[in-house]
Amino acid sequence: MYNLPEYEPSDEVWNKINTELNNDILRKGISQLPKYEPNGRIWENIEAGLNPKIVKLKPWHWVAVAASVVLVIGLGVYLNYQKTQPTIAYSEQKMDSQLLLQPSDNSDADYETIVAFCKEQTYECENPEFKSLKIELDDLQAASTQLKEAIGEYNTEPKLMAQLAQVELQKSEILKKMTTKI
Amino acid sequence: MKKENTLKLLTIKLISALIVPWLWSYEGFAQGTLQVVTKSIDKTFDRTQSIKIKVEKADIELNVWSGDKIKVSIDLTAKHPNRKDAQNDLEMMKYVAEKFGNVLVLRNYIQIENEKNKPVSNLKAKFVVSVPEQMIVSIQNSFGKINIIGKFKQLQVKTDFCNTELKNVSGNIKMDSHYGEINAHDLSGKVEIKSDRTEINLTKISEDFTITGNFLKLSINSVSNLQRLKIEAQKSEISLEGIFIKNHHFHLVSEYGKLKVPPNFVSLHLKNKETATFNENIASTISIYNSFGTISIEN
Repeated sequence: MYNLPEYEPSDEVWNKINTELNNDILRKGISQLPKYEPNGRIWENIEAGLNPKIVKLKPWHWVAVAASVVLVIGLGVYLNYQKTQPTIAYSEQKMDSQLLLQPSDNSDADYETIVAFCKEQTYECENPEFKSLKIELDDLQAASTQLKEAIGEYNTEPKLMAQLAQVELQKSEILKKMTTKI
Repeated sequence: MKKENTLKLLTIKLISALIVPWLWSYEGFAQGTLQVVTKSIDKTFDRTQSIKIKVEKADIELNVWSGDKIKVSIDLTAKHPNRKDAQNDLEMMKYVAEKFGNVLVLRNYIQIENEKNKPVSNLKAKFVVSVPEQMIVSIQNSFGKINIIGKFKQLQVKTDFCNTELKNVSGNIKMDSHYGEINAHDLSGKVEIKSDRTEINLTKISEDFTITGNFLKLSINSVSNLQRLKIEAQKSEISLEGIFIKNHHFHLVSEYGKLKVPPNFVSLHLKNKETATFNENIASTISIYNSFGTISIEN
């Protein structure tokens, strides 16, 4: 594009454009419009408006401004405080009877039987193998008691019930082994 | 007379029609439904040197995030058929989320004013903690769940009757468990596990592991870049699967128990003891001792 040749219009072309612009209807119409001059008072008013005025606030204005600032800051502090405060929510949950303790989960009687037996029959209970099983049984009994306490009346945790089932199974195994030694 | 009886019957019916639905709408009578009241707290702390989480009956979610702050969100929940009882019991469950010097302490506990007013609801806490990388964290929990993800400088977990899950966890890790389960996937670093009556399932472990315990049900599936695995147990079931045995030196000892190994292991049977060795010149060592239990190695 930069390599294209350049041409300048002749003066004649410019003169023709100028004449046609002067003959334009719109231009003629504008020249025929009536002219009006604003009176002196309007100019004075405009001049007065242009000069800057120092606005003096009345005391109650200052109070209003201060109150607004305090309100905005207070609102911010309150919202922040609200954010860090605990919230309380309410909902409902269906109870699952499978997750609640059943009378069959109570094997304490079996444990008590062994304890009572050892109080009377010390010979068998002094057997090292029996003693070792008794220690294991005590541990399982303590675990069972702790788990039952954690499960409570309104359990909703399947894992806790599963653990109790495991402990009770292990307890049964130990009790079985112990009874063969008696 | 007949008219009077009809009137009585109508009155009874009307009273029943009004009272029964009202009784059923009362929370205590809505059998099989627990009223759940939850108190939620959100807090953010500047990074501290370490975090101590000492809780009970709590579910903990501990994860590492890219930020430099410690974010803590706590939910304390009480469940009871009667909403008022649940609300009252929730008031007894307290929490601590505070910085003591350079340690952030998170706790929950039950505050009982007198023996008569013990909580009757099912109380539970949930802690969601997001920490920056390479922190020192210690956790103590009972009767709950723990989920951990991320890199730690030091991680100590002590549990009673808990189910602990670790995913992509690395660092200097010490675990101590009594009952419950430990399930870990992609666990690396210097790891020490001391357990009692715990079911432990580990997959893709690397670096240095020491596991000791009694009555364990321990299963290890696949290892990578393992330097050392040492297991010392009693009355436990130990099984290793999915391990490329040629990459490791095995030294296995079973007393009063059973030993199941691939045929190319060198086995020695004594009176109450059985040993098996393989690849003695390899640096990566797997040594297992177990008594009154089983050791099983499968390719």
